[in-house]
Amino acid sequence: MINKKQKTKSLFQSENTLLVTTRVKVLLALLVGLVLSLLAVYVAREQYLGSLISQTETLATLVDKERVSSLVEDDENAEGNERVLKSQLQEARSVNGSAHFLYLMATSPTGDVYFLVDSENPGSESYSPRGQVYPEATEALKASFYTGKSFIEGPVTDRWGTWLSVISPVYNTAGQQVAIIGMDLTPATYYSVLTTAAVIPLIGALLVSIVFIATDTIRRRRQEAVRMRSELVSIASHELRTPLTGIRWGEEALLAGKLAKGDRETLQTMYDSTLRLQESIEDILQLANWQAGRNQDLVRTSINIGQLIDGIYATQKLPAAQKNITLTFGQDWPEELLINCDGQRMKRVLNNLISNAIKYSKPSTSVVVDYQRVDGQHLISIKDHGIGIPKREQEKVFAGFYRASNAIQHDASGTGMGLYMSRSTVEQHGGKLWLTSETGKGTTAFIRLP
Amino acid sequence: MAEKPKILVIDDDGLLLKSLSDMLDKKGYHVDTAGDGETGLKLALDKKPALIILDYQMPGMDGLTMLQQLRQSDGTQSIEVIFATNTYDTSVINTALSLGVHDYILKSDSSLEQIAELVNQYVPPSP
Repeated sequence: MINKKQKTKSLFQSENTLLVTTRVKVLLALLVGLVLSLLAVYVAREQYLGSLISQTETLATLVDKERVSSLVEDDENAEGNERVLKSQLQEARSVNGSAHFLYLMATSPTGDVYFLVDSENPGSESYSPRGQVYPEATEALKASFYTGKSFIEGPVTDRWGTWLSVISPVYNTAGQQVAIIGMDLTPATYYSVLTTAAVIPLIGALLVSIVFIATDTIRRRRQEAVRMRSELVSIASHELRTPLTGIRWGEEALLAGKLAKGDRETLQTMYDSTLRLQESIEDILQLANWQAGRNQDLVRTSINIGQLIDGIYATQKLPAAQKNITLTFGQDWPEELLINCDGQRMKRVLNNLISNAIKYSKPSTSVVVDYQRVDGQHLISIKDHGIGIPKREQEKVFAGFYRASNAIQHDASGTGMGLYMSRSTVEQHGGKLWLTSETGKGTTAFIRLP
Repeated sequence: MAEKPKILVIDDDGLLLKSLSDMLDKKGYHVDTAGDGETGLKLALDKKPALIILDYQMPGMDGLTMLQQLRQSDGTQSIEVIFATNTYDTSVINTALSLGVHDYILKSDSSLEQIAELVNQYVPPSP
């Protein structure tokens, strides 16, 4: 049937779009990551540059003030002092791995910036002799001779390459700034510090986003599985009920016609079996519906309870007859009892209680269904003379997947779910279901409904 | 001779459709049948039956959709509708009841006699 194909197709279509809230969460995570990244870059940069200034300022204090003054004044000891300072600069550089050039500079009255001494050996390409002007001096460098403040400049490109320059003031013994000390480094470390600071929060944000997406996917798969299970139960219900209805109506049509006695008996047996089969299937479908978590809202209509129970008696004729059990209504049962309730669901409850009554009854006893009006509410009772339920198990039998010890011995069949679901249904109606029982004497089940 | 009251039965299961219509025919009704919602709708508008027995799960147009469209058309307000289903989908049934379905039955839980009695309540057969 086309109908079945349509339903099956919808079972296997899954949605691949992310829920809106997950998209929002991922976006927020990435945004936060970006902000943290910028923050991290800022902090890392401050820290790194700060430490560079620290190093350079330390070097500035260690440089011999008198020797520097000598170079600036270019007195008779300048050459000697130059050699000493150069070797000191070289030693400092060898200790500081990242420093590429170390140098001292001064400024002339004309505003030119010139070398006093650097860390290069004469003969090397990068050597600048004393007095050599540094034409590429930036405005910031020129100003630094007067501000008395350390600063960092760059990465700046000059004829020797691209450098990060750390500049710190150098003072003479009188406390006047006479020169600057400079430390040039390749920008590689600077760039890698910034990159690492930028990348780590972003990676964190990415991981968080992945977690959001993964949990969303898991949740949706689970929902999909639940939905599929629910649809399967719906399809199964229809596929089981429809052919059975066909069989039942066919049998009814035949029974309504003329038949030979033998044939009628055969057909009647078939019909009784069909009705019992329908009841069993309804029990199983109710369990399946419950397990699949399907919507179990009530459909309330006016139900003739007497007729409902008549129908149940009809399906229980055979098992009752086998043990010579009689099924009757009590004296107080009204002529017509109409209760506003869900007929299908209450049928399962009454079927469960009546079939239990028959199942556990002693042979040649009776099962009586009776009625009372109590405090404006309906009270239906189902009384049997059976094996009863041991006192300490009387509440447990309602727990679900539980069968009383004597019940299992008496009759091996049964899921143990009947009373759980019966009570659940009655309570959903706003009523109450309970038992009174004595082992060896019998059990009475009570249903109270508003 | 009094005219037999008209009943329309709409159900996609051919077997059930035949069982129902044969039974109702024997009871003295004039029975039209349809195997899907669209045909059923056309027949309903055409023949203006006194009562419709309407299945829910059908290919193409389902029972509820057909009912909605029926109610929108003129001259169909007086048609009694019995909703017959084999899935006890409470949301579907409650929707049907709210759409003015006069009764509903679970087919697998009803005997042909019970259905005949129900139909008789709304539309007595010709004597």
